[in-house]
Amino acid sequence: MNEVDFLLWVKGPAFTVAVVIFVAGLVLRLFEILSLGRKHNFAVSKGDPMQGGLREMWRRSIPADKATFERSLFTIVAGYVFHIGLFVVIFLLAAHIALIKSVIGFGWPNLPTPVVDAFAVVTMIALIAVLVHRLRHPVKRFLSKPGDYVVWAVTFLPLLTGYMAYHHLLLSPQMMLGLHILSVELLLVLFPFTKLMHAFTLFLSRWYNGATMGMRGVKS
Amino acid sequence: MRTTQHEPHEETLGERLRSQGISRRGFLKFCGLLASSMALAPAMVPKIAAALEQAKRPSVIWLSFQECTGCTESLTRSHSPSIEGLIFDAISLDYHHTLQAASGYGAEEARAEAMKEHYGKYVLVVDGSIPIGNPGFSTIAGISNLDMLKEAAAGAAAIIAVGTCAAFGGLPKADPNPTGAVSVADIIKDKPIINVSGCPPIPVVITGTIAHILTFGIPELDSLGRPKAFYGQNIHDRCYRRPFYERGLFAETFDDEGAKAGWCLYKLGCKGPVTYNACATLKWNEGTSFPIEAGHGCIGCSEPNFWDFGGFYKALSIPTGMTGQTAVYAAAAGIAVGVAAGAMNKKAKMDADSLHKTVTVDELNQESPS
Amino acid sequence: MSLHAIPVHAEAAVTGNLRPVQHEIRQALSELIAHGTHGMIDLHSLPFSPQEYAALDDFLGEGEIDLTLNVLGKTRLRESSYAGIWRVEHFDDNDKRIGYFIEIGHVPEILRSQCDDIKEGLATMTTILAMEENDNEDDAT
Ligand code: SF4
Ligand code: SF4
Repeated sequence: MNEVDFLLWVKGPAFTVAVVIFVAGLVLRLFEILSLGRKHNFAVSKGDPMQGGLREMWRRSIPADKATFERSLFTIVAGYVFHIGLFVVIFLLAAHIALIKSVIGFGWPNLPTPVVDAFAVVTMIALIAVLVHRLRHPVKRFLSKPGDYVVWAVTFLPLLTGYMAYHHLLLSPQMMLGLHILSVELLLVLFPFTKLMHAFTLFLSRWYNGATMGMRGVKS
Repeated sequence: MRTTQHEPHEETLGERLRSQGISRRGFLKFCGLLASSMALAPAMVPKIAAALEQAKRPSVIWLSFQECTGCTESLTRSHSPSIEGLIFDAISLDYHHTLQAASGYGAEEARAEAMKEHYGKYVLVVDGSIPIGNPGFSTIAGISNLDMLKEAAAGAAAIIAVGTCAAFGGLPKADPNPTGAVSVADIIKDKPIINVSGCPPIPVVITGTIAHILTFGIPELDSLGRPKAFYGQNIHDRCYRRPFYERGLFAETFDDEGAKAGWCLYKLGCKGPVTYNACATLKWNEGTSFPIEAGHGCIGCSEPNFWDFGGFYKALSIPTGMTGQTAVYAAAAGIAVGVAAGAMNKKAKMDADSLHKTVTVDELNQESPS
Repeated sequence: MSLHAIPVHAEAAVTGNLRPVQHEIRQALSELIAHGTHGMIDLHSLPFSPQEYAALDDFLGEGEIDLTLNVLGKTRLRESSYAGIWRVEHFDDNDKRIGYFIEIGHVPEILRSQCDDIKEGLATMTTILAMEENDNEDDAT
């Protein structure tokens, strides 16, 4: 198998398989969670759970509590930096938009490549920083399981290989592009079955929390 | 090609060019242009001149298998007396069934004779791929391509696979490859093979490779067996539209404002970022321009399997097999499994509930002392 | 209609190769003075935009010599306003430029009489003179 065969394989069958696993897995997990449902509450509550849920979704997205913010300054800032970076890199690079458009049928304008490139670099730095922090912080380290490091690695690899493919570093562009796509496929396959699912469950759970807190009443 | 000669004096290249009325100044000009076409530094010119002066005219046997003759056209359309033409004159083309006057058995005799006379010394040029699905798919004078290649390769000093078909299988090998086409390198394993890929290759790249063999022997090759001097550079790296790629300015259709302003053709399917060829520097039609200058993206013609890259007009990043429909099916499957899993979870929950026994205060008091 | 008659509107392109070439020429010129090395730069194998060709032409300026040779098509030699820097342009039979070099030396290589040609000339001249002298002796006797 030469480099081009490899590239064709990752772009063809491998990509299809990865997306199928990703979509099916995603829907499966969400359905599993949602279909579990909640017990019906027969008591009339004072507050509106919906309002409480929405408020919580918003409140936890901003550094509302000064003390918490100051205590976890690094985690919050670095976390936001790499999440925003990931968003820009994944959704605003012309090549990625072309791909998304081909699958879902519509696209949107792209940013200039050097801007996206800069975001990629910042994101990688932030990711490395949070990893170092995780390893050096006794509590975080204690709480980390192998799965957490796997999740970190499959997030970092696509960035690194994409950066190298764009700059034609190390290997031939075909090979690098192939590895980049392969690393993304790995991410897609692992996504529904790891903590990466938080991208979808995050707001669900924030809503639940908020709804419970905003209910102000007893449960039947 | 440089073995000591016991036979009567064989004409050297220098002598031959001079006998054609080319002066030493002309020869020097030729060598300068040759260095330029071989992508060598001008400082190499004296070395090229010395080597060419001494080189013997090699016998060349050109075999054409499953091909469209485009490669031969590419070479012969370069008008004379171009350097291409001069290099072409510098070899003794003993067999080329498209170009030679003889045909059928007469031609085959010429081939057999040249092979015998120059055994172990001739250069074998091949264009076209070889069908191994059924030898009858392509024959010349009743001889299958496979047999002819094996026979001719046995006595060759080196093989030049001209065109993507000979180098990598090319169009005949495109999915679903009905003839079972393979490349020269898939069959011949014990001879140096130089892949001059392209569909067709740039004429000066064909002749530049021949010139390199004449002067300095086999050129340095990349991992796909192509001369690095010509295939060492990426189209995208050398593309004059690159600044637009960087700025994120892309033509969306072939006639929009972006296309008219010469913006990058990535979204229109340009495969330049993964293609190695000399188009952007040597250019086509005597250096006039190259496809991207004419407003069409690179289709990656010098790379293996470029026909199956997933569509000439689809951006490189677009997956080849994936469609929105597949994703919808996947989602449906996910829902189905999700419903099943959800039902099972629900059942587990209910079972747990039903197993739940109410404990009375008495019972608790009884257990606690233990 | 020639190719040049077709209007092509390309945006002003900058390849970034002009500066390095200018410095390479300067470097080669100082090499020529220091060690007498003959320098040569191949402009055709570099990506160069028409604007950059023009800018380089302006930079070099016109000198005193402008020669056209007739070898395998035409070849034009132009000295620049800097002594020792020559533009060498090779054309084919259809007057299409197929090679463009900058040479740095006392005289472009192609202009020199070639050593082998000189030797051959000497041999020919010797033979002719010898033959003429033979004839003269024959006449005298
Ligand atoms: S037109 Fe093609 S080769 Fe040129 S910059 Fe765009 S993608 Fe690269
Ligand atoms: S631009 Fe690309 S497709 Fe066109 S000839 Fe060159 S390598 Fe082949």
